[in-house]
Amino acid sequence: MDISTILTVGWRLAALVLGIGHWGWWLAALVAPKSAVVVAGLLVVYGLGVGWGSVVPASGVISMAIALVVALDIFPPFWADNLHYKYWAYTVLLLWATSIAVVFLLAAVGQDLGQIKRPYRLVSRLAMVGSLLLMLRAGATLYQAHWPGWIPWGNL
Amino acid sequence: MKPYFQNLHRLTLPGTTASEPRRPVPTAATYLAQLAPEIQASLTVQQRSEVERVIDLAIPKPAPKVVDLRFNIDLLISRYFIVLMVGKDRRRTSRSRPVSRLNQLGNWVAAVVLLLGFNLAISTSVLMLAYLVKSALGIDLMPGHFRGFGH
Repeated sequence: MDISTILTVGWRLAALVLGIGHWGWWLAALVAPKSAVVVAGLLVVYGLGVGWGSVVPASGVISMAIALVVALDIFPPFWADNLHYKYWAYTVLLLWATSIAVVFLLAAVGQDLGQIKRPYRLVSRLAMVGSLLLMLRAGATLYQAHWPGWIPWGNL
Repeated sequence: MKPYFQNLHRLTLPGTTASEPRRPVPTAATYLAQLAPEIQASLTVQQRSEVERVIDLAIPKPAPKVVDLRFNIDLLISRYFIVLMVGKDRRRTSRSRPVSRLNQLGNWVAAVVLLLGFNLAISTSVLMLAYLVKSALGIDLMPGHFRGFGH
């Protein structure tokens, strides 16, 4: 394995871990029901298991979730009532873009895991799914621990 | 479920990978190489080039495409591919593969349902994106309204 491959795999994994932690944080922030958390977990398993074939259906699910957030006016509890809607629009756009990027990263990593030789493929997939589900949980824990500090937690 | 597991089995066979290796584009030489070695050896240079010329005529030449979009969708129970191609029509004769009227109707219905589904999904996403960009730019079409549709 050459240095460029190691760097490519390394940044993909780092970005994916951060992205999934970000999902966990936002799921907790939007007080998502258990079913939404289960769907997020299933998207992780699906993306890693299927590879590139998961991009279109998973992006559809993400876009539907964002549409629900917009249409049902779901705001995180710390969001100030008098803040202009444009800031929320920025945030939702950013959340949408990063979530689609996470879907692509999941597919890319899933595809890479599919290339691993047989005895190790299942083990590496299971290890990756386990780590990412833990990151989902870690993101939610960080929200509950009121991290990061610059968020106006006083509005809660 | 059965085709999925058959496919999974095929893909997990030792020495195979999930991504199929790209098939080489066949040339006249590819077909000629399949002749028995003794017949290949018996061909003169002139015969060989003439046979290659005729095979070349028989190999279909794909037309250049303006749009060539291909992707696959894996729904776990089965894997589908979707292809969208747009290009100049250079066909002079009608298709040789006959399709029954019932099949034609089925194809049309499936294509219309698929296109409507894609159209609905893409339109919803585009409208939502336009709404969010409009809001992010601070354009307020309904004054006094700070939050989404419900307020």
